[in-house]
Amino acid sequence: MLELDGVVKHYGARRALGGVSLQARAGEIVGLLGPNGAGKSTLVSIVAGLLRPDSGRVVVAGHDVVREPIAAAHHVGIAPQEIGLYEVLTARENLSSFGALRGLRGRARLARIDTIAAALRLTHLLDRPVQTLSGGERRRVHTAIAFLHEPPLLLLDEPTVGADIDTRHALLEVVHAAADRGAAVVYSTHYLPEIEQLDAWVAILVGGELIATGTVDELVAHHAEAAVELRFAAPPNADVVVRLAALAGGAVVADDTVVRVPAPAPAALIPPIMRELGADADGLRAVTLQHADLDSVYLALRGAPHEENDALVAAP
Amino acid sequence: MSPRRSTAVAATELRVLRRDPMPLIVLLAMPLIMAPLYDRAFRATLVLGGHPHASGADFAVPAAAVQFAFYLAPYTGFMFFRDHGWRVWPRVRASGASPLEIALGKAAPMVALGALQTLVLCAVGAVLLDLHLREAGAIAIVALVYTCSAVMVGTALAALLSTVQQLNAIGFLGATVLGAIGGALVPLSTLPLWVRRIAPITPQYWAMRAYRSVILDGAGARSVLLPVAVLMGFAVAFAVVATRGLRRDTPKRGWS
Repeated sequence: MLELDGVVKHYGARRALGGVSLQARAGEIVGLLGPNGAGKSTLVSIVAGLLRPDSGRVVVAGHDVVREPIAAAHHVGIAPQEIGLYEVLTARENLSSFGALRGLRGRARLARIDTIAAALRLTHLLDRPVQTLSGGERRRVHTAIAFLHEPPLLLLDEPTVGADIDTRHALLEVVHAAADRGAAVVYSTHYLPEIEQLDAWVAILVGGELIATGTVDELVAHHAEAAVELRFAAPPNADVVVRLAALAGGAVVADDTVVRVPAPAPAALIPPIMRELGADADGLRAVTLQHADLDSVYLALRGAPHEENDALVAAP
Repeated sequence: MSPRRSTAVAATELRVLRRDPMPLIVLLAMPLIMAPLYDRAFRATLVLGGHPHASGADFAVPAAAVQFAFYLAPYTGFMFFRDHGWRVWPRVRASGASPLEIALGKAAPMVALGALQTLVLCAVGAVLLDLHLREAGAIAIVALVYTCSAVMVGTALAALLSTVQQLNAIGFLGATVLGAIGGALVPLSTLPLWVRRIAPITPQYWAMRAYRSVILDGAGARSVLLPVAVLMGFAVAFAVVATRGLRRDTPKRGWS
């Protein structure tokens, strides 16, 4: 359904995507992970035809998004990261306007609005002007628009930002249902548990490059690393980082006020860490155990040396 | 090219307009107030210009129609900046609607309003101000095509400019200057020679020429063919500039 091959995009001199290749098959959910500025929204915008790649190829349902943008766009439903709604119109009017633009007519359009509104728990909000809705409610209306015409490719860019727990569950159910009926879904998020709940195929984007792809289980098996994460009030001295690396017998990663010390059994490493820190422990603000899960995969890969990552890596 | 998508864009614009019609009501009402004010002053000018039986409304009414219809240009541009401000623009573009379909959809309600404005003004002028209304069909066609050119100027400005402040300044001041050069503020015969020479570069000149030929000179409907053709040329040229500019899709900044 979606194929990206060597997609490159620059904003002036800054590289946003550096040759990204990715696929999303029908019925598959691709969880797109990455820190702010990693290039997730740029990638989504290119697939939606909103940005032109500098080079590389993007094909949606057999249509090249640069050469056949309109044909490709008909197969895509997008919920951009920023909420975009006609403020003075009601939720129903917003859904109806975008439904009409997507070719839904008459009763079919009304039926789809009712269906998606019910699925996202919007029914009681349909006749309220959007400008009177809360942030989470607006986010739901905004996201519902992407599902209206039942597109075979869904692009959801951080759809649960600001959403409460009920909304998040409702949205994940709708995403699951869309995948079950055969839609490919590209789901960008910072909430890693959502990726696990969606059972998504994961793509981790850092500095415009895909640094890891695979199922959650595959990534955990290959990259997960349990660790103790130490958060200091201020960036610790380099000497502290080197001492912790010696203690751990492996590389530690220091990023501003956070030091990550890998350990197969992290709980057991806490007492020796505290002894090693001695007086420096006064600057500690939090100690966190990181288990081998998608969180630790993400943190390990993000913390890995990378040209656009200024984390300090120290080894014994 | 899909009329269905343009219709969907137009329907949305009408819904938004319905929520806050005041600016357009003012724009439509203003020429009805302005035209009678200049009625007497223009009669003297027309009589001196060789039209002894003309009424002041024979210039004041078409002039007000031409001048105020062109203010729809910045109003049209505001629609695009509003879409950027409300962040619906990416979504409209990602819908598969082409820049031309979007431009036509946004233009349609404005063109209808502009043509309606001219027709109401002419009807009021004929009933209350002694306007010599002839060839109503030809006048309607001129009003329609002229408003198309004005609305496409607004779309082109929205496509090329990056801030709504630029659009506000260029749109309204530009409409006033072009109206003056094109003979829609005072009769062209009263303006300096150099202005009369450059007047044909403005859509206002061709609209005024068409109205003048049927209302003042009593020429038949065929006399508006050339002005209508030129105005259509303006509309198409600005539509091309607009769609190319919209395709480039440069970032826009609204009032905030």
